[in-house]
Amino acid sequence: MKTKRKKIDYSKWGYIFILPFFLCFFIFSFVPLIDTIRYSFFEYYRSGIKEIGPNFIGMANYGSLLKSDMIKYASNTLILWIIGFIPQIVIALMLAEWFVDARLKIHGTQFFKVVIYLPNLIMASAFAMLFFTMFSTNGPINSILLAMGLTQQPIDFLGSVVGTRSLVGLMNFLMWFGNTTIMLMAAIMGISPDIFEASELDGCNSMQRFFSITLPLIRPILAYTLITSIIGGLQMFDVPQILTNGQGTPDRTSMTLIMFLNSHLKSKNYGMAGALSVYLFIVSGILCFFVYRMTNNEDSDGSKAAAKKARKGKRG
Amino acid sequence: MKSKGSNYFRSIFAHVMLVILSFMCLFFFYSLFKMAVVNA
Repeated sequence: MKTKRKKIDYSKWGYIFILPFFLCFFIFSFVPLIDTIRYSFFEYYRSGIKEIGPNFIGMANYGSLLKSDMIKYASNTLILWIIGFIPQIVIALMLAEWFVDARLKIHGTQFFKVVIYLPNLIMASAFAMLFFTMFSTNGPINSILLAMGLTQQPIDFLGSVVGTRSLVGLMNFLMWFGNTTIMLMAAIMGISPDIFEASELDGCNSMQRFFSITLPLIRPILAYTLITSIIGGLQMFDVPQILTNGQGTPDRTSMTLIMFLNSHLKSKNYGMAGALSVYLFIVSGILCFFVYRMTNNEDSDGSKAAAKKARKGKRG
Repeated sequence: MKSKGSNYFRSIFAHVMLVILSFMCLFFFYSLFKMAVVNA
């Protein structure tokens, strides 16, 4: 006679343990997200002490945003992101390659790793305040330049377009290159040493090794870095906000999209702020999709392409 | 032999770059610390 074994179901404990996270996520993230999208279709703002709306107006908020300076602010955001990101990824790749290359015999690797990570520990707002003080017309940088005789008059870094944008780029670069270096270094260390040994036996030089082996094999981490950087770049706010006192000076050339969004939230214009958030969501989604498709090649070893070529050759 | 020479120059370049970057990072960190102490 067969006895029925009582099955113990442990899965319910899993659900119980993840329940608090999903509850918090649903209440504090998902509901506001849906509400933001909903408000983007409504006229809902405060004029003095009078609250107007919410009145359903369809896509009018989206239309009036397109007619506003949003495109200008989007291009500002893109320029500020590029100025910070390009040197960041180039230097981070270089440093990561140097740190893992035993042939270079770099002394004090641990010290350098700690030091280049230090700016990432400082809060962006504190860093922006520091730059604001240092690069002001009567700040220490101008004093040094004047004392050395490199300039006759103090340079107004924050009064020129190039100066302000360069400072924002420099700050973003300094804050994030250490973090990117550590991530890329971990990616390079994950590559099998056999491949590097084989390449050395085949007479590969350091440039060939970097462009033909290292770079293709760290593509997933590069994609991650690019995607997180794009999202961070689109959400750039604290550094230009503090450096330009919220004005995006000179002539709103360093005004980012989130600074624009913030100005709508200040005037309690929830409808416009919601529409701008939806635009940002769509743009970051599209950009991330393209980056993901570009950096995640399914045929990484080229075998599928070779097979296709061979099939074509047979037919021909 | 050639590879050894190129590695030597790469190593010097790497050290110089690391020293410059570290100086920049430490300088800004020091300035922040100094400002915090002065303002207090």
